[in-house]
Amino acid sequence: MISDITLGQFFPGFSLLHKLDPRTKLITGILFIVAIFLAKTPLAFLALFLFTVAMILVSRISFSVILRGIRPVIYILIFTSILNILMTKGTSVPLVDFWIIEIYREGIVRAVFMTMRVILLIVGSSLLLTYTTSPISLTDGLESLLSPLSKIGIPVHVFSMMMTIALRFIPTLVEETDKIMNAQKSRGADFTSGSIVRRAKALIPLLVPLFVSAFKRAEELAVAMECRCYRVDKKRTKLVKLTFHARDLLSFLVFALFLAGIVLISRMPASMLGGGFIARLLCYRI
Amino acid sequence: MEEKKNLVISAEHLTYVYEDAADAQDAPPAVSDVSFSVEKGEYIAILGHNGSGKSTLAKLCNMILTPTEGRLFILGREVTAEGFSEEDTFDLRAEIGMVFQNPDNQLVATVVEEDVAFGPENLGLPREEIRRRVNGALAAVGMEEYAHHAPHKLSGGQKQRIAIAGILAMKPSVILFDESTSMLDPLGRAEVVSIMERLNREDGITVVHITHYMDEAARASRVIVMNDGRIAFDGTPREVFKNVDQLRALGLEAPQGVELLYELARAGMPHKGDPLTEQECIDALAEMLGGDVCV
Amino acid sequence: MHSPRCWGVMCVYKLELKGISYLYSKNTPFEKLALSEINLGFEEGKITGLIGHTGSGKSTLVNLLNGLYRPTEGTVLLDGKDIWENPKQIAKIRTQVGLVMQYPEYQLFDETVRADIGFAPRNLGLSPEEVERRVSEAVAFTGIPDALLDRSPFELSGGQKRRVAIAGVMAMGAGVLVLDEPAAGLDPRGRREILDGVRAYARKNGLTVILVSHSMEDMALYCDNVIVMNRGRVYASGTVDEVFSDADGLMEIGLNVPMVARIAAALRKKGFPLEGTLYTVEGVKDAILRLGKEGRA
Repeated sequence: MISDITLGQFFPGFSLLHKLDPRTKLITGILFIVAIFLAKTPLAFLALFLFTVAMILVSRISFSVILRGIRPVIYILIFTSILNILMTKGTSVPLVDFWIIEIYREGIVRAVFMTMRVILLIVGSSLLLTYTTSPISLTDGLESLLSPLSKIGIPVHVFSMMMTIALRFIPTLVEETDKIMNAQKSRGADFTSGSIVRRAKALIPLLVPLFVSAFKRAEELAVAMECRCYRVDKKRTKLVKLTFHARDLLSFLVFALFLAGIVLISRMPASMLGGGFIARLLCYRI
Repeated sequence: MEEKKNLVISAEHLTYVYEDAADAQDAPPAVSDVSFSVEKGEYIAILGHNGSGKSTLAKLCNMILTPTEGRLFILGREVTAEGFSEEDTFDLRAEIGMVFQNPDNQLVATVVEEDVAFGPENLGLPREEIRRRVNGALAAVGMEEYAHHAPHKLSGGQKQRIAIAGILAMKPSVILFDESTSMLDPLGRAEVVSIMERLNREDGITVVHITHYMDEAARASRVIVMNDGRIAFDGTPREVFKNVDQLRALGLEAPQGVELLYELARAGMPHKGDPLTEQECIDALAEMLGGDVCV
Repeated sequence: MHSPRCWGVMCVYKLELKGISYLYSKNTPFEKLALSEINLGFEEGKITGLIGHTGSGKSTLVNLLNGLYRPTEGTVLLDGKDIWENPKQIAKIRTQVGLVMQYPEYQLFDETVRADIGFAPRNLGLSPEEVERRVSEAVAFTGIPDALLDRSPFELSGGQKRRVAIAGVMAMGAGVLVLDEPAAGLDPRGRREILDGVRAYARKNGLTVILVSHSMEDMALYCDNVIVMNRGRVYASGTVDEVFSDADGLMEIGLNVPMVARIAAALRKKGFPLEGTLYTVEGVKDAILRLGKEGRA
């Protein structure tokens, strides 16, 4: 069933990460992503890794959920890793030189780091944003952060209302797609076999009703909203006001310090760790 | 004008023609020459088969549609007057709420309490007032514990209760229910109808309930039956439902108890008075049968 | 499940469920048991009602009947054969068990009413003549005026759309027709017309019909047998008379017992010995008339 697919899964909870202001999470999320891209050495990655584990522990989201979040991109990761390994030309002697295949150390290193970056990126951003922040508060956060733009005539509020409605109706439409598909299957429609053209044609009985229904919903919703006194041009107030707390300030500090730390660690010479083999390995710059 | 002060809705020769070019010739007006008025605190059911014009009537009353002809007064203000502006419509709409048929297509937000807050937010009320109203409205429909839930996970009846809460939060004096029970299961229907009745009884909110469930209509204080865009009957449920034959001709039925007594009378077992509720029917039948047994 | 027409192993069930259970979202935190230990048979050529309040498992059951869901345990037998014997053939099973879903209007998509009703027979690869024949038959039984056939289905009124959607499944010519609340949201006249049409069509073609409804009035008027579902299990099954005679039990599990049945039950409690079909207006009327005459005599 399509409805089994989770879309931007939010796991309600009361952890520190859940309680943070969405704006804090958006900004610290950006800091974290910047940190990922400024990390240049295995040591820096180790720090990123430990920090991510700490975030997971704080969020009280189970590791199996995190792993499930990575699963969809595994094939892409494997594919790009293979490309990286095969296509990167190094300066040193190839590790493998067989027929037209030449594998250099640089290729392997690049593949490993790239994989780690993507995984950290997915885990970090979904932890901060999707898993612990409800879509609606994320929208509120975005609206609030972008509100200065409304001064130069960009209708931020309208976009945020559109986002809200989209979020509200995604589950409804997913359910509906499922229903229509079942109804047409019950009339002998076949969505899964035949040539591409045939399959594309087979989608018509699914797409037409879906669009018709979506438009009908939009129309009814518009009337219902108007009946509840909604007007685009009118100033609205809000039930939920975003407020920064001490914990938000603290998070900013932690993430800013962490970012600075990553930059420093990435520049740290191996000699500072004693200069041994492990030290050189940890401080190997990509 | 003066006598209209106490009237929530007052329609004089109201007509509405759908401007659908394709059917313009053969389509009869959806509402034609309808006059009626609703007093404050009434609980009215509007009956009629599909296409009888009952929904159009509701949309006119809520200013979604503008009458083609006739005059319409809402809370003493003439909606059909020359100078009636969009701003005035906006003001009046907070007073006259509407709950629609499909519970899915009237909920805006992804969190229950934010949806309930939508109306008051539009009215530009201060935050504390919105909070008070949201809590009050959710309590009135018995959905406080769902304040932080996602609407799409609720049952149809629960969604409809949230929709009602969303209207209540605007503190309306009238609520129109446009077939709001027709997509619900019996349990959901019972919940919504009991909320309707409580709002009418305890908070004095005028309720106009459009339905084609006879048992729901029988509980109202007044029933209007629409047919072909006109009012066919207007009276207490007792007055209306005794016309079993005419109702059948309009594609409607009387509540089963009334039908039973009517059939018995036709078969030669008459009853006294106009029993309507289940209990009244039971009593009437017991009297008929008891009398027979005694003889 | 017992049935008066079932002798030992020689059952004449068109469709049968054996030891069915169904779990939603298996192996996830949202796992939920929707059906358990369902053993049911649907007699060939009969209209069987399926009743139960929301969450009783009847919708899940409906989706199992034509293979939209696959049972977690147990088998669904059509003409004595397991429909999941060859999962690749399940699409074929779906053409043999027609399913009209709740609010089926949303399945309409084609340019004209005629084309839309013809969708299922075209999918079966029938000749244009046969498609046309089936469309005309379905149209006749659902009471769609001929004038509408070349219109777009989207121009129709709600009630007409419903008829077109039902006709679209009828035209598939399946031996079993499952209808999930086919009259939901319609006015009394619309309800009668649609259900009358379905019954006439089923009788003419000897179909086995499964009618899901919240309305016990409809069940009483249209069904031969009734199955009552409660909390994922079969609460009662048998002929309409057998099942509906237990008005108190049905009320206890939260079903909307028809007002006349409640009136009859109340009168019996008062000591009036009403006998007969005590759940339709007609039946209660007759019972009262009989009692009245006896009283006089």
